[in-house]
Amino acid sequence: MRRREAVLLLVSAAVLADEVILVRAFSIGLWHHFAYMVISIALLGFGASGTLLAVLARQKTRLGGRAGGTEWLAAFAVLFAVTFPLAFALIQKIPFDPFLIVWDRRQLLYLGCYYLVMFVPFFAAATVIGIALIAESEQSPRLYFYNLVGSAAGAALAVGVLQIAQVEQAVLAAAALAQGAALFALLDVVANTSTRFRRQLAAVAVLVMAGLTLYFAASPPAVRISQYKGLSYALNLPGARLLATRSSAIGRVDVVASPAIRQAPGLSLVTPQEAAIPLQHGLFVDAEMAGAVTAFDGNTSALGYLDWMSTAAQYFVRPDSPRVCVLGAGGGASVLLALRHGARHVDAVELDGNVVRLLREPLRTFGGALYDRPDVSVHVAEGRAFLESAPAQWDVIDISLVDSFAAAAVGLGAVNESYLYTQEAFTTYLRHLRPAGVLAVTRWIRMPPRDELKLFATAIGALEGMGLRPADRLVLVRSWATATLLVKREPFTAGEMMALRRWAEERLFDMAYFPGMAAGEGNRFNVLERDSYAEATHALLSGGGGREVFFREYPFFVQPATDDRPYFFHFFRWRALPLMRSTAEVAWVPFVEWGYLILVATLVQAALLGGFLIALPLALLRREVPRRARGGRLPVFAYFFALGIGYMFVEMALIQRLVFFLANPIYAVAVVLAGLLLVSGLGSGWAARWVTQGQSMRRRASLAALAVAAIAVIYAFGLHPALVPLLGWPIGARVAVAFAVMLPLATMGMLFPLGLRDLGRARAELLPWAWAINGCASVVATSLATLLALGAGLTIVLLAAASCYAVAALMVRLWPPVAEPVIAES
Amino acid sequence: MNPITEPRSPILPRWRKLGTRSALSLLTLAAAFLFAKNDEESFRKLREEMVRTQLASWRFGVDAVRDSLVLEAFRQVPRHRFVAEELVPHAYEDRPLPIGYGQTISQPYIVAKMTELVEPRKGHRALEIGTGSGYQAAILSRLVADVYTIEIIEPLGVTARERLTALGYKNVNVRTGDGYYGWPEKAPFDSIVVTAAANHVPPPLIEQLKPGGRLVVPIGNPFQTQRLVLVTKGGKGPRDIRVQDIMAVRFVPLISESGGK
Repeated sequence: MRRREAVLLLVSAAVLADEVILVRAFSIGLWHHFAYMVISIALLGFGASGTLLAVLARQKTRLGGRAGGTEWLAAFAVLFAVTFPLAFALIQKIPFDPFLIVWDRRQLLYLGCYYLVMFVPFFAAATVIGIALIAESEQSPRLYFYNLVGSAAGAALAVGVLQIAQVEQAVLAAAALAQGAALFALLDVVANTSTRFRRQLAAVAVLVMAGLTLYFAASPPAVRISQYKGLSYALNLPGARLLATRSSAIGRVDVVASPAIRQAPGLSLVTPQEAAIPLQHGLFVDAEMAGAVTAFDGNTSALGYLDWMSTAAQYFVRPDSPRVCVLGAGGGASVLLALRHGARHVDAVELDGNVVRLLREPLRTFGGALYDRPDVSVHVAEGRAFLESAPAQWDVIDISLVDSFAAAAVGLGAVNESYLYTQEAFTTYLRHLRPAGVLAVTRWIRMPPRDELKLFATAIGALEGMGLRPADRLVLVRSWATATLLVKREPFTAGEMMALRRWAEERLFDMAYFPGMAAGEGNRFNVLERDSYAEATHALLSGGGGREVFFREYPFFVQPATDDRPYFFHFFRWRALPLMRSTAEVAWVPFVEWGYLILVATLVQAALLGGFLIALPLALLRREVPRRARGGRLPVFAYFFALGIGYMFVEMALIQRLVFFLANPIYAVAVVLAGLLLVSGLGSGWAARWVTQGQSMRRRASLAALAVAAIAVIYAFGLHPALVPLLGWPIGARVAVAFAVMLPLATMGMLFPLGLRDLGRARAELLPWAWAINGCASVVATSLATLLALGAGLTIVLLAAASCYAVAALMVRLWPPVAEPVIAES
Repeated sequence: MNPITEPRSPILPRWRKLGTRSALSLLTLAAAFLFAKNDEESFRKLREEMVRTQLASWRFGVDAVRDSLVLEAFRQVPRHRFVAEELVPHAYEDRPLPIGYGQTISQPYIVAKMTELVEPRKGHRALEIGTGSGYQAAILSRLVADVYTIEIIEPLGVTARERLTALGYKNVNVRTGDGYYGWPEKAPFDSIVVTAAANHVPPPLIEQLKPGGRLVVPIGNPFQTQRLVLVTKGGKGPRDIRVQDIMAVRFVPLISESGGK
């Protein structure tokens, strides 16, 4: 391996690690959507570097050849190594608060500062990679191999470091990679030059980097947490103390003690004094409230308050001493509730191991060793996957408020996938119920209603799929703040209904739906101007045409989520916009789903800036290229554009599919990101062997693109059904399966470098352009893929990817012919 | 000639000097006063404008605030005195304003709607949980006999108390601390405004509501009130309680007139 290849490897690793780490940092400080917004701009640095390279090429700077561009390479490698940690420290000083953005123009300025600050290091890194690839386009498959393998290592490394260290420390680790790259690049300069000046310059660069490392090692820049996040608020409460902080790649968990913390979502207004809430510690995930740990001394009679929330409804219809499964156990409220109702055994499933560990230590005494009781089994797993592979059956399956109120209220989760609330998931839950068992799902209420209606529709879909009549098997209880849906496999009995109605009435909860209800019965205590629940549940149960009309006309998207479109939180409908404008009495706020709008904003800004970055090198080239040589650019443009879009579509769809299969978002992102890059790297390396054998590249590229298209089509239809039966396998085996799934996609890694290599022979002046187009396309594709998945599903995303590759296969055949002099040179 | 004038002559110019000086300073004072008055005058106009355009008129998707006493209170209370200096130019715009500690002063319409919903009357006693800047308390103080307000974040509570005292709102009592248990010594209350939204309404507050009393709580985050929940207590005992969802809250910046003039 040459020094330049080491530079490429390390820079690629650092860039990918940075991305992963930044998403984490933004999730803690602000909300993760802004990470994608900022990173998408930063990644346009790849497009911009193409523009710069076009300029450099125009200035007749020596970029070509083995030693070409060595100094530029070193300069940008140093720039990257220096500006990355600086940028991270700097953005923590910018007082950006997204919620102010609609009122305060200064916030736009701050956001602009974020963009600018994060753009510089990514631009520098992209330029390093670009120079390395373009300077030796003949070698690009081999170089691209190092690029991809480096990226793969970076992704894996970042996740590994985040698992054991805080995000601030992970930044330093990534910075170290960048500095390593800079050192190799400087060595290359020193080895290739004899002038003292350059040696001195290199020494200064090394000193600056060393100084910076020392400075940040001594005082790592802390992530600034927005004052509008729950954790900041809680820490301002009287007597607030931060008891513990744990960090992993899944999220940061904080525990805050304050006598003023009381978590009892939708507690009945008439809760008697003797059912007062015991002392609680607040549990915060990524600085947002995610439940509480309740003081517990083993005496469940002190937990009366739990019975005064809608989340307890299931215990008034269940068999005695039930076996209970709690998905998303968190701080343990639902586990306590189960114990209070005499559960024989509770299976508590929690995704974040840190939450479980915190309850074991240091909160063991406070929380009554809840997760160490013989009648409670804790499983650190994703809920859906746990149930898919569990052989057992339960009397109660409880899924209560697994996301925070703050995030739910403004629709921040709108674009997040969740396999917990899909129709297939509900079918699985029902299959894991004993005959008299009950599934209970609670969500926060928003007005106009949406979450609970989608739940209702999902349950109907699942019951109908099992050949059961939904109208007899559903109950919807609502307080002013929460709604709990109960689903049974057997019809609710008259006795059960009586007990439940008495229970609800005592608490002033409304029975929004129950079998055999009469008009007006569901709108007694929490009064809506219009009983939209009665209308909606009636329409949904009416089946056939009525249901379709309701889905079509309701201002929110409330059709059940499926495993193919696992976006339960996606309620936004563009079609409803005119309706909102014309309807008086309807407020705007309740319709705004921030997550979705931010995604759209991300796409728009990336498309605009990306277009600009493509147009610029194009304009520069225009003056450069003699008129007769201008033809044939469109196929080149289309080829690299299609590759950029197609690759990201495949990556995104695979991540979503494997999130389900690996049952852990972090494993999935790490495995898919690293795995896909790695196999692409292998493909690239393979292609490099063809090149030395002097094969015709275009035919091969075309065939490889067709192969990718074929694989994408097969995966679109066959992957999910093939993976579901393997869910029960141990994680190691599943990771191996995931790699096996990705291996054929090695062909994806051949296309870009083969294209570069051939372009270098045919039209070398178009190389920077190809680099810019590909960079911009992949940025635009990231948000586009999510929008497409939300609107049409993952199958369609994969099919779209397949068509991109088919287009690429066609386009490469239409490229301009190889120019004779270039061949002579090589 | 006149001996008296002799010693006087040095004095006279001095007097004159003094006179000029005082005249000058008087002039400045007067000017300042005038400007201040002008300032106050312009703020008064802004308030009038705010009441007319944001509160009293029917706008797209919004119920106007009809209670004339409530509107009068908004004409009187100087909202610009409840925000930080750099936000004064925005004080009468149709938007919430940050007041630090992750808290805001809600947009005028929300404050007005909440005030109207609790139906404040002259002899009433009102409780507010979450003083914040003190603006809502000041509005209530124009409408009821006594206002009791509790702020959990101490620095906010202290500032609000000083501000309300300085502005002469004598019937507002500010306490810093946890508002969960209300203000039992002064209970029961005719109206309760819970400006700090929580995951539940503290049952002790419902207990401290008079029969016929009204409690309102906004749901959302500090910058977006999504709905108002109104709790009314009837005369038939402690369980005679009704909750209503009030939807007439809209999202200004996406429609028009954001950002001010």
